[in-house]
Amino acid sequence: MVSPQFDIETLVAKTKDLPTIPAAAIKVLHETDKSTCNAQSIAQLLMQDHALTTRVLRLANSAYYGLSRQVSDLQEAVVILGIRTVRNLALVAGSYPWMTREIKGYDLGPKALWVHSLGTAVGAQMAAKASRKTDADGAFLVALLHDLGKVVLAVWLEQRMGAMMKMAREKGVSFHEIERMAMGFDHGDVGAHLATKWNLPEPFINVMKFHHRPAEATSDVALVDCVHLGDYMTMSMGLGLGADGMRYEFDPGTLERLSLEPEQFEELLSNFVDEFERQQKLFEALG
Amino acid sequence: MTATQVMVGLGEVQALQGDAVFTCLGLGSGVAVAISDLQAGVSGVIHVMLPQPVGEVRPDRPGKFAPTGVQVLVERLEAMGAEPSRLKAAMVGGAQVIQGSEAHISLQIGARNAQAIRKALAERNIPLVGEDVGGHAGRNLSFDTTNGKVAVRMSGTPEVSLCTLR
Repeated sequence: MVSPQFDIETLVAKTKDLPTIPAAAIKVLHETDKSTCNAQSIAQLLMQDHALTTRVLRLANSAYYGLSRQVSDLQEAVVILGIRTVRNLALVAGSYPWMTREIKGYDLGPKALWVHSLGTAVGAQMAAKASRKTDADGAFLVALLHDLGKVVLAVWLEQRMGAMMKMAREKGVSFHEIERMAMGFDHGDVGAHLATKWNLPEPFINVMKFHHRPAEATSDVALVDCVHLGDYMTMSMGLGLGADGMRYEFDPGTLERLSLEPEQFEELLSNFVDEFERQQKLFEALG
Repeated sequence: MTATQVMVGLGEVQALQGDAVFTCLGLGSGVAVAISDLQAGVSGVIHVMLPQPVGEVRPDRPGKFAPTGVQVLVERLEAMGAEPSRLKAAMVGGAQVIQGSEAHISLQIGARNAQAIRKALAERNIPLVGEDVGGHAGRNLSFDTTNGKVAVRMSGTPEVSLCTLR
């Protein structure tokens, strides 16, 4: 069933209105990996993008962080909130505009992809905290973009979703396997391709590529496992479900690798929605 | 008089007297349970998230866990004048991601939610008139108390009638 018509490169080239991440936000992602990174260097990079700076300051001043006074200086915001928090805010603020769009191919209404992405980020962050196998803020960051490939594939899927879901039901397999059967690649591969083009750090690429098949990851394994769990939590709570619904396979090996007991996972799930809604309120400031 | 539109969020319990259309959107492994005594004109819906109490129950989410959620809803309906012997129920949701044959029972949240609700209803002798649970698709429930109809919609498909709580 593999379509001979195109490869990922052609698909991306043919897609109009591709999502983008502000260059300043990408520079910040790379800057935080350097030992020389400090509040001044982060602020200087972000201030190259006025719109992004405004949005980050709006988030920094939201009730969520409970600052005693309004902060209007970006460097001061980095000092108060920390480099990793501001880095995460910059990525959210930079991807929010396209993440809130309707994604018709997957039957995701306005904001549904955003809800699903934020949910997965919060779930991955909680899984990372509970397991202590990887940095929790880093897990939030990479999880946020895990379904980026759907935005591109959606255009191609618009007329084909019904038939592909029928096939997934008949074969009893995960929807990403149907994508691979139909095209030779899945939305994870497409996201990883785009992440490479954008020069996103390596963990983003690995997480996008392997979030539905974590056992195949050879790098950033704990991050991939946390995002797989975060995705599972989000689907289970029905956050941002599209036409592909929950038709994805759960890999129980993720719990073993993260040294989490299944019962512990239920406790995580119990606290997940409260934490999700807390963080969702923070980002309401983006409009 | 127009029916009141009532949205039931995650873990919420909503109950009222009079005409209403309850809607519960985005059911994944969670289960929406509609319970009604239409003769008394009282009805309600809960959105259950988990099969058993784990951790704290927030005051604004009394329906979070199956046994306590059913208990709270039934108590509210009875306080509004429902006759216990006339209560009827329907439930929708309980989907889950695909799990291998060796999947740990704890992870089968959707199936366990449905089972815990059946048990909680059976303990109170409340008949389960209709159910649409399981599978791998998200669902929405609507319950129109003006005619007792419970309907289900899956993503990308039209709404279908499930049963009537009469």
